[in-house]
Amino acid sequence: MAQVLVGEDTLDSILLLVSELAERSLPAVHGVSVSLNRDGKLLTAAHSQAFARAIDEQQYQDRDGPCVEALRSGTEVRSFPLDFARWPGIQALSDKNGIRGVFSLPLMVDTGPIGALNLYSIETTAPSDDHAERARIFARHASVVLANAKAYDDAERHVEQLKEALQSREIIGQAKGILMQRERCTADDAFDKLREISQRSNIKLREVAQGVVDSTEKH
Amino acid sequence: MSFIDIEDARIAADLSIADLWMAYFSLGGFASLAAVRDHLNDTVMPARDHDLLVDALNDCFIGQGGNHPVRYSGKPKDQNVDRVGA
Repeated sequence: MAQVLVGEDTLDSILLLVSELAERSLPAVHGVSVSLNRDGKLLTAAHSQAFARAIDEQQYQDRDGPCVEALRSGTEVRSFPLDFARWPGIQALSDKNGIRGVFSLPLMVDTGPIGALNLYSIETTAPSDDHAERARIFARHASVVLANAKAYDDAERHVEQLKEALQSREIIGQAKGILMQRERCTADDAFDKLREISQRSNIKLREVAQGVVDSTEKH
Repeated sequence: MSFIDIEDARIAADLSIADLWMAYFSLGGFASLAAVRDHLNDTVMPARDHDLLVDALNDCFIGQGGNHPVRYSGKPKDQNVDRVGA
């Protein structure tokens, strides 16, 4: 899993799998969700039970709660029994679904926390050390998948930047060729002319070059 | 504000070295990212390439409302040029 670059659809499917496996494998966990920070917006990317997503979303609305805190701070947040004095906004939904405790684990990539794995429990007693360690294994798996998805996004962005850069080089090359023919000058002199126009008009070099190409195509 | 030192200009423009290289490459540069990084750390680079980095920075400043604040080397294009001192 660690070596495969992941697109967004596949990412959400894998996070759902991690959520469902965590719910089945960890004792007293009644529902699991994965919160993510996508471009500054908090959302639930996967959930094993609808109520887990609902409690997450209440926290996003309140801008506070155990999963929001884990995601922001990059540290584990355990609340057993759930501290409704601290987070009153999630009491109604928690009561309705019998949720009495939450264990939120941050999901870390190279730049810091990017999400949280939220384990909603019907127990008021905190998980044992052994159970907590098993939960951390699930969080690590989810973090690896997220790190791969980020690498995929970064690679996609670099490809787009390179495409634009190659197009820009093409335009500048064409403009230089046009000026070389028109002015009977060298390639360096042609580029100097583009630079002079850019300085005189305070227009970017690429745009000056585009203007030269466009003006020739019109004739 | 004007700049002689392109490393100072890069920092003021809030460009990473990779961003600066991409902008330089977009304008027709052939030097590698490593060569650009070395030049920003005082290694000699041909005047043509140095001035292309200046062009990339000046274009960036145009986007930020500036007008060519980074100075060119003033050297003939076939001469090597050291980083002009601040």
